[in-house]
Amino acid sequence: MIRSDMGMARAVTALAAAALIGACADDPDIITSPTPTGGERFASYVALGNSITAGYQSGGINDSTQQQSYAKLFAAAAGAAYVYPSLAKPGCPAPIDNFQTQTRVGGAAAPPCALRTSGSGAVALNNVAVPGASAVDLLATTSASSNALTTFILGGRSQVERALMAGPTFVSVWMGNNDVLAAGVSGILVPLAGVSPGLTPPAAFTASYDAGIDSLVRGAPGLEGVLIGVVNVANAPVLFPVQALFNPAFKAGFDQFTGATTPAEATVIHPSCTPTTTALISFQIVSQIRQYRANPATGHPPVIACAPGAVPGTLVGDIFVLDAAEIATVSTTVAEYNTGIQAKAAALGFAYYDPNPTLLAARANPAQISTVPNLASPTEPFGTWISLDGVHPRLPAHRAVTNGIIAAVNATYGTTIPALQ
Amino acid sequence: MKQMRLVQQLVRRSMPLALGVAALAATPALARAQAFGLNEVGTCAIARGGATTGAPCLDPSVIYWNPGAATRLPGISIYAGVAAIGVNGSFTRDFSGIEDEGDAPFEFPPHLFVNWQYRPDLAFGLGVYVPYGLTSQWKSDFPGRFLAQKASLQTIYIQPNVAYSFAEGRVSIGGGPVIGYSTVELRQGIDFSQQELPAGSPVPPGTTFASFGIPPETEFAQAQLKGSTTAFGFNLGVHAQVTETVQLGARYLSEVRFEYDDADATFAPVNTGLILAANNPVFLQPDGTPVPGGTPLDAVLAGQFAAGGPLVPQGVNTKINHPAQLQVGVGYTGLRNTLLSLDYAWVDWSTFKELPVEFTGPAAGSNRTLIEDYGDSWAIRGSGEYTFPNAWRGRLGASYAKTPVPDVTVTPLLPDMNRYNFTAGVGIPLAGRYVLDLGYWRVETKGRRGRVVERETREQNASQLNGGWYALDANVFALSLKAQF
Repeated sequence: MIRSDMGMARAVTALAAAALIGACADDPDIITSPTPTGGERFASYVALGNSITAGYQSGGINDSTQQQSYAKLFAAAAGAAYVYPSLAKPGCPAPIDNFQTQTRVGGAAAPPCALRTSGSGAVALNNVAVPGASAVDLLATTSASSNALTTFILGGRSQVERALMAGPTFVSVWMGNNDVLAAGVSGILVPLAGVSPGLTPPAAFTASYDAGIDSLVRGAPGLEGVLIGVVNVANAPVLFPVQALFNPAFKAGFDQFTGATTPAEATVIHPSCTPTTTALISFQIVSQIRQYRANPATGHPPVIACAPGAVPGTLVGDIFVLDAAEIATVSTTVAEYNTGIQAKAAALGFAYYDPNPTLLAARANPAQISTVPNLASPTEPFGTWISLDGVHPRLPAHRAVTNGIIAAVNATYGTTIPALQ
Repeated sequence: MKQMRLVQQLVRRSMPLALGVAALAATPALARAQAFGLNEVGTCAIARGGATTGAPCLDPSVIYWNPGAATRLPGISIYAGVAAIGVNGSFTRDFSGIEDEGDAPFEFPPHLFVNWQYRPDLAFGLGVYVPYGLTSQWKSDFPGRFLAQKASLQTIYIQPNVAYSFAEGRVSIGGGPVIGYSTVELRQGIDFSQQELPAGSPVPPGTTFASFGIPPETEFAQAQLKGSTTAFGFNLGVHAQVTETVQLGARYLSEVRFEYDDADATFAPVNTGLILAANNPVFLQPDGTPVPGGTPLDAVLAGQFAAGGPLVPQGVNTKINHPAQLQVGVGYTGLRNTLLSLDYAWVDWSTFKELPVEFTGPAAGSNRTLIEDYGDSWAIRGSGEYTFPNAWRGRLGASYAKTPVPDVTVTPLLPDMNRYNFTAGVGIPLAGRYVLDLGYWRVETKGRRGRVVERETREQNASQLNGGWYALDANVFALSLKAQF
């Protein structure tokens, strides 16, 4: 069975065909696709992108999370067919289902990857996004960011090649978040082997991005679409302000997460951090401190500093920390990316949507996006919009993004795709 | 990811690849009678729509159409000719509406008959004709190429014949053994995504490479089978001149079972164009690490075609039964210079239920049986022939043929469907002892839903498998020359 939200439509068509058999006492004719409610321009919609587009949540991906992707929501709103590379449950890997215990769907017995859902293979996929992909992966069949999901989803082709197999008439492209994310959450913005790939320079990003889009357009004459801006990862909830560590309640929860069992084992806040310091701490430091406790030769010592060199000879104070200058660098880089993306959209007559205002507005409501993790919550530590990995959006955020995309598409093309209610 | 890693050597050693190969011996398609039967045996018979058992044409093709009527031909007569068969076939895919045109070339089945009336009541003859065969062929991007891209069957029957009449010549019987020589060729793609991982892999049995993301219709090899064999049967007929204006006839052509033992199966690699990404979870090096990113899949699969691999040239055995036929008819000559005839034909296609495929080489583990599940078929044929004052004969015919193929077996090999046939022709006397026959046969159909994917179990039905619409029509041009001595 090919996973498709066209299933019901096909079933209805098949019933109609069956009725024809009875009426005419002869074979039915060809089963045709219904015209998309959004119009013929959505006859073949394809989404390209990375983990957000693929439907990755809480550090994993499976058929359930895939169905929450904005790409599927947009396809449904436009009445477009949507066949996606379904990943069988519990997932590949299975998503985390408890923030505090870090257990995953399916429990300890779950395999590292449950493979593609049986029968989910299709020549034409409407979502070719791959978790971990960066701009260079639009055209590359292999790159530094290739992972097992690259094969599971693309099977030996690039995203653009796989998209063109669907004969796209309309595309959405949300690419570039991974060109800043890994560096951002590592706190190391320049390439450092084994630690951080560094930020992709804006010029290099734009070159890769434009080459990918140009190839897509060349392969699908008359193509229309929407280009989506890169998220400013400095606003991701996985990065929390260092001030939170001066809140005794939060600090106690933090220490507990790092595996401290006595006050003596509590993480030390280095004097370089003060209640007025502007710095973001990556929550990924927690697992590194736990690793250090298990083996001091690895991981990160239980010290949080806000300036490089706080612990001579180590990266403490630099790694997993974004200081004010680095925050500005990330923001500036993302802004430059988005300037290029917007220019490309304008040059092609595509729609452009910048998700950052929507996400920033949600950050104003801690219930939606929490700037400081609620360590007491096993299921919503980062708010209702962000999944348990502190990076990837949940369904409410996907819905909000979808509505933003719909508005941009309607404004550009004069369509009347209804917003999600 | 360790649990799902597959050591490359495992894949190289035993990856089963018979799915595509399995259909190699399957039946060809797009014929003009029912299924892969042919009626292009003699131009007069073609022009009369095959309604020539009750009231045979007065040429030696009676050796096929009604061996008992051969005593009606005076002296020595020779009849030779050929038909040119052109088929227009297509498949329109559901949803996308993409139409794939067939690519079948013209076929030219010949026929040759000789009859000698040794005495007024005894005749001897020999017939060489093609009662089963033809070719289906599709273009290289046809999605059904994994079932068949080309299928060709040529079966020639050689039939010595003896006919004897009695009751003052009003009744005659005849027949003879049939020596059948059949050649079969099939070419098809093999879809890598549908190949199962080797037994012993840390995945559930039956897991295919599609589960690892290999796109459907990834053709990595093309398989070809060529084989030939000989088999035997018989053809019998009876004819009766019931009254001065009414004649009856019947014939029975026996089943002929062709066993293509040790046919040649060969395999050629097809470039997939797929490039393995870094950290792929499927293909590992001997040390257990993934094959480096950027490695072409074709390089990994090259071992499949090398010595010791499963896709080396090897033998394959299969069987194709050419079914029995029974045809009865009546002729009426009560109208001035006019012959009217009506025939009913039945073909025992229900004997064609399964098609075994047995490899004799490294792919022996992939032996399988294709499900066909044909039913019997029948046809009603009618014709008229008018003899003009100058001895020219004008002929018209029409027939309806009910397909033996069930809804679930309409495939690229044989997208058979009910047929409406319209025929016409003329017989032109030449220089006293010669007659030139010209004929035309038009095949019309209504089209039929069919599939381009494999049916793996009988639990799968047509509504689950059929994915589009086959359209089919054909034109047949024929000419024969009769010499009478």
